[in-house]
Amino acid sequence: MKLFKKMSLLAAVSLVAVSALVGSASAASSLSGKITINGSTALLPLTLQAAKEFQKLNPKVKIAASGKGSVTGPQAVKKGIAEIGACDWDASMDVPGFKAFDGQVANKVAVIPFATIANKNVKVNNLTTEQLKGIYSGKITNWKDVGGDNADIVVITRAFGSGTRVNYQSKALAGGDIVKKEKNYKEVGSSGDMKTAVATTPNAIGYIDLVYVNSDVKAISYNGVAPTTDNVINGTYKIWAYGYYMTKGQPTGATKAFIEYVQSQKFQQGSLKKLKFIPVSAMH
Amino acid sequence: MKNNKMFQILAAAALVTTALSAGTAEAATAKAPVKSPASKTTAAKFAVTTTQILVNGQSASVQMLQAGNGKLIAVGDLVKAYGAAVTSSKGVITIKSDKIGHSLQLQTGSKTFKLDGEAHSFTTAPVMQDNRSYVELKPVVLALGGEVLDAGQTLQILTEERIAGSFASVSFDAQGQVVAVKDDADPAQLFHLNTDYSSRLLSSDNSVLNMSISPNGESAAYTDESGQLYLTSLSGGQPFKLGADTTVKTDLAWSADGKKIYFVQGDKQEKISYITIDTGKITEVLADKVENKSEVHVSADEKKIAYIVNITGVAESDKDSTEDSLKIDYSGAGEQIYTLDLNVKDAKPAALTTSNDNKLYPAFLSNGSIAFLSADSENSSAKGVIKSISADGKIQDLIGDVDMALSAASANGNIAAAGTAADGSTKVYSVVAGIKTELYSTKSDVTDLAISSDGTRVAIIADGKIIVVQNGKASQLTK
Repeated sequence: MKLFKKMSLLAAVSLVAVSALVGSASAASSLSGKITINGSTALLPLTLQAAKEFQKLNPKVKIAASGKGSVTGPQAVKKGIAEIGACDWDASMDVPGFKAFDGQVANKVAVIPFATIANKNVKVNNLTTEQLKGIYSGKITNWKDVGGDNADIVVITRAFGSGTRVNYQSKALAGGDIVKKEKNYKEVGSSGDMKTAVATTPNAIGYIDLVYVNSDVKAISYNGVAPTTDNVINGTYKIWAYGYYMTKGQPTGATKAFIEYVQSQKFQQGSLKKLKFIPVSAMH
Repeated sequence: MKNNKMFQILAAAALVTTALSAGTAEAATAKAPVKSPASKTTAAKFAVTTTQILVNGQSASVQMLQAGNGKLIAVGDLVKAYGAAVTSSKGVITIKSDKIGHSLQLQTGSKTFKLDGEAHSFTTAPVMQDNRSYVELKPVVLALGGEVLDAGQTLQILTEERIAGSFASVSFDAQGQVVAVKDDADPAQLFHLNTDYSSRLLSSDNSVLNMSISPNGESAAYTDESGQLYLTSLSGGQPFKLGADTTVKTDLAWSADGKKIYFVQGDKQEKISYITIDTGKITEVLADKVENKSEVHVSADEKKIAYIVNITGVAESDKDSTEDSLKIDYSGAGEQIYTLDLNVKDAKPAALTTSNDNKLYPAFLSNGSIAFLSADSENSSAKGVIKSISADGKIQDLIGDVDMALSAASANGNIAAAGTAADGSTKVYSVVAGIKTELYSTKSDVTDLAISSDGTRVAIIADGKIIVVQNGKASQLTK
C-alpha cells in the first residue's frame, strides 16, 4: 500500500522471482513473508531502522534481526538459518583470519568508520600506526611511551569473529597482530560492551564504530587525523570499511526488495546518515 | 447568418471604451445601445442558462449559453471570478489584470484571440447576446493561467493553476490547512495547501523530508546527521539549534501543547527523552536499557506515551564463533507495543502486546486505547486489520473490511486508514468518535494519509497527488 512506484515495480519483479513470498497481486504491495538477518552488531541499528521503514511499505513482510558479530552473518547464510548475513567485510573474499564464503554475494549497504578510543583519563590525543601496532602487539605497555602519563595501558579488544576487529587489524594496525596478554587485556563481545569497558576502565584503549563514540570516551586521532565522517569522505582518515549484506547467490523476492530499500537514495541520504553511518555513494 | 455576425461585431464595437472592474462589466454593457439588430437576433438564437459553478472551491452563479458545439460563458462572470478588468474598444474586448500578468484580446464573431499579442484560436467564436459577450470557457481560463475541472457534475474554475508534482508526508496543522512535502523537488519543498487550491511554499530544504511539524503548524523540528536538533519557523527565518546534544535522535513527536518534543535517543535507540522548547533542556523519560525503540506517540493529555520495541532474535555461538555452534532463535523477534505512564514516578513500561504479527502506526485513541495496524506475515492471504488495544489488553478490530495497509491519526485520536479491496482498488476509511466511515475509493496507489483534528477532513496522497475528502466530496489540490 504505502509503496512508491519504484517499489511497486520491485514487488512485481518479486512476484516472478519467489512465489512463496508473494500474496495476492494488486497495485499495492504484494510482498509478504519473513526475512531473517544475523551478523554484525555494528550494522544492527541500521538494519532495524530500515526494517521499520520497509515494513511500512510492505506491512506483510516480517523482518527478524539478530546480532552476534560479523562472522556469524555469512555463517548463518551458509547454514540456511538467515537470508541476510550482515558483515563488516566482504565475506565472499578471503580476509585475515577468515576464508571466503563461496557462493555468497556481498551487497554494499553502508560505510562504517571506526575509531580508536581511550578512557577519558588518558591524555594522549593522537597515535600513529606504529604506536598502535606496538600497543596491540604488547610491545608498548605504558602510556608514557606514547606521550602520556606513566600508567599501564589496558588493552580492550573485540573477540575473534568481530568485523570491527577484522577491519581494525587490517586498517589501523596495517595487518598487525592483536596479541593476548596475561594482564591489562580484555576481550568483549559487542560494540556496546566495548564502549562500556573503555569508559569504565582507567587507562584503557579500545576501538569501536564511530557511531558509538560519545562523551563517555575519548576519540583518538590516527596519524594526526581526527576520526570524523568528513575526514573519511575526504579520504584523509583511513580506518573505515564497507558494511555488507551477504546473501546466498543474488538476492530475490522480499530479500532483494529490502536490500534495494537499504541501498536507495531515500534511506542512504535519510535515516542512514541520522544513525551516523556514511552513504555508500559518498566514497565513489 | 453572415449579416448577423457582422451586426454582432458592430454591436461590440459600439460599446463605449472604458475600463471596468469585473464586477461592473455587465452594468456598463447594459447601458450600451441594446436595440441593435444583432442583440435581437442572437437573443432569439441561443438559450441562456444560469448555472452554479465553483470558483476556487466557492459556489458562484454564472450565465452560459450553448452555441453550436461550444458552451460559452458570459465574459463578465468570468472576469469577475478573476478579479480582472475588462475593456472594450472598437469591437476588441481586452481582459487584463496585474495579478494575472496576461492580456487577452478577443472579438465576438472571431475565432482568433490574442494572448499577450500572440494569436490563438477558439473552437467556437465568441458571441454577443443581449449586450453580453459569451466566450469559450477553457481556452480563456487556460490563457489566463487557470484550470477548468470537472468536479463531478459541477464545473469548477481555478483562477490559478494548482501546483504540480509528487507529494508525500501529508498532515494537517491546527488551522486545518494541509501541509505536505513536494518530494520531487530538489531540494524538497514544504507547502501549505489551501481549500481554494492555492498553495504557499513554507520551506525549501531537504531537511523537510524528516521534519516533525508542531501541533499549531508554526514550527518544525528536525535533526541533522550529527544528531543536533533544529527548530525552524514555517513563516520564515533561519533554523536554529535546539540545545547542543548530538546523540542519535529519531522518531520526533510533539506534545499536544507544543512545548516539548519527545524522541527515541541513543545509538541503540535505547532511551526515550524529551526536549523542552523554551530551554533546550533534555529530560530522560525512560532508560530501561531495552534497545531498538521507535514510533513514540504522546497522548493528547500527555499522561502517557506509547512506543514500539523491535525485539531482536537471539543468536548464540561458542567463544571461537564456530559455524557449527551458531544457533539463532527468531521465535520472539518482532514488534511489541509498550506504554509508559508519565505521571507516575519511576513507572515501569507496560507491554501491551505479545503476538508475533507486524504492528505498525501505533496511536492513541480518544478513549485511551491504542490503535495499530496488524499484518500477518505468515499468512499472505490474511487481511491487514486496524485494531485497538486497551490498557487492560482487550483487543478489538476497528477496520477490517479490506486488506488494511496504512494508517494515520490526529493528536486527539481520530483515525484514517487505507486498504486494498478484492478488486484492487484502495479504500479509505475514518474512525471518528468510534464511528467507522468509508470515505473514498481509488485505483491509484495511496502512499500517505492524514486526518484533521476535528475529524471532518482526510488528506490522501494518491499517485503523488494530494486529495482532500470532506463531506463526501473529494478535491484534488495538486496535479
